[in-house]
Amino acid sequence: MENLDREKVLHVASLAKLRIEEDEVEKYVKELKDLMDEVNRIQEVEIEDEEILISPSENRNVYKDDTVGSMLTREEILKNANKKYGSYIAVTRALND
Amino acid sequence: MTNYLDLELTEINKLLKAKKIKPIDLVEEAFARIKKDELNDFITLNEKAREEAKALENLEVDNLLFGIPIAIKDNIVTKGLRTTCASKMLENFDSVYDATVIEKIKAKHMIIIGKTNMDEFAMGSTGETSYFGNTLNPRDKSRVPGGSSSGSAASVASHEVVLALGSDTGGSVRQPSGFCGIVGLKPTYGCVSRYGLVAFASSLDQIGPMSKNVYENAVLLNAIAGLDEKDLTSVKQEKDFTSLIGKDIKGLKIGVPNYYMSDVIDIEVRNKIKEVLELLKKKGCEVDYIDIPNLEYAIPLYQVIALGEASTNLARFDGVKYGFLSDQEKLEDMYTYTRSIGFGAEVKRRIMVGSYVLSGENAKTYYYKALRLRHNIVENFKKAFKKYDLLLGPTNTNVAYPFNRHLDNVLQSFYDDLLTIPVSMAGLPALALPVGFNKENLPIGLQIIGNYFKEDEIYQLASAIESELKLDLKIGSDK
Repeated sequence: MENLDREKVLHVASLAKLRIEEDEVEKYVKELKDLMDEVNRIQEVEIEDEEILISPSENRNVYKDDTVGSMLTREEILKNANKKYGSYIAVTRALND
Repeated sequence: MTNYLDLELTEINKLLKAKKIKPIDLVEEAFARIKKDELNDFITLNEKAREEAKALENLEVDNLLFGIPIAIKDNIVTKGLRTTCASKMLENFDSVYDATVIEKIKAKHMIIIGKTNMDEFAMGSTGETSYFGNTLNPRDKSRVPGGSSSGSAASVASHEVVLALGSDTGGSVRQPSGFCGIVGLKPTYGCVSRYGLVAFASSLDQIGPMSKNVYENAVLLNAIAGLDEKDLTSVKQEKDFTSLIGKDIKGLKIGVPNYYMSDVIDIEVRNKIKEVLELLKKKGCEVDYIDIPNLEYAIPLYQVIALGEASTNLARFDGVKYGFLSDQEKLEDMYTYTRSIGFGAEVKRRIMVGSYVLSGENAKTYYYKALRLRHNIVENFKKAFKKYDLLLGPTNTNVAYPFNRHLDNVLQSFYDDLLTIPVSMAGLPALALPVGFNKENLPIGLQIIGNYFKEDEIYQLASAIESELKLDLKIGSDK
């Protein structure tokens, strides 16, 4: 296994969009190491067949008629948003930042 | 205070039918008990419950669940009654629709008493990760109730409600049911619609019924099971899950995987399970100890699959459309502060592990290997079910333990699910059944594992054991 160090932990945090304060980094390094020691046990198992299982239920194709069902109103969609601008959800500027 | 909630479902139903009591009497008693018990097992009480009970007064009592108070785990969405997942992230979240299971229980005219406390986003096995504080075990308030369906188990065990819904990803219905001494089922994956269940690990999550006894569990499963067009992993089946209850168990072939009786399991727990096995032999069941390969890898397997899926499922919490939002000006800061303040420590740790095992080359090393191991475990279970009708073992490695015991051990919550996770990986149904008490008077749970969609057979055996043992599970009774 590659070394789970401080840099790696900060990289994973950035992928997960989590912020880790400076004084928490060492704690995370230790905890993730403890967890990964356990996770690494699956490397020990020898399995002959190559088949994989993604879902325990039978996957099947489902065809539906193209009919109008229930839908949400604008008020309902906006109801839980924190920032609104008229009838829109307001977000932080993403371009030209 | 009245004591209607101590009665069996069929007795309550008779009283309602005969108009000797009204649904409002049950609601008042539920609220009074919740107030008196102080278990912190509810996050939100349904303020409209009295009104809803009143509205039932002129309707015909047309089914067993009519007017019955039920508690709902707070990761199942309910329109007009907030759904928090016991997280700061969703502290003020009010769903705009009902989960399919909620539509179904409302169609039976059940009354939702409230939303129950749980481990945050169902991640934990003690209830201690809740943003809203610990749920207390009604049998001993200094001990954990188990988790993550902590409040659902506590509210049923303390007779504050008749029934509850929980959710089970790696053991979250069965483990707290064992710790609180009630009956809890994790149905076959696909038996119950997941539409409206806030996703933790989508290939494992199932909503399950929690009850005081076996029959009532089956009645609630009847009400919530079945195909739902809104969850295409759900499966069509129109079985009556109560149909085998009371049928003779003679000749049933029962396998006991050695993994379930190893010396990791507390000796009192093992002895109690052995007593049950002896009882079953006397009743004419065939009981064999068997080996099912690779179950010992279920925990690391679960960590890869469940945490990988969790890290992607929880990516949706960005503060924009719903949930907690930080007041940062810059986009990247807005995301990271929102998620770091909104999620608790256990959830963040699990997202980190999930993100790590899925990132770059690791996806191949860990995730792909895990999918192969998962397939292998399913095949191994299938082989066992060619020979045996049901598999048995304990639900938990031990009984409920005191709070704060495992605060510094990040692996503990996974090890609590040592005996429940293998079943979840395979998508099989399993039921936790109280079969006795240890020396400290804490309940010990048996786990009955069935083949796919054989919940009716699980109930058949569970009910036979229940009526042989005749345990008095009411808290405060002499045992």
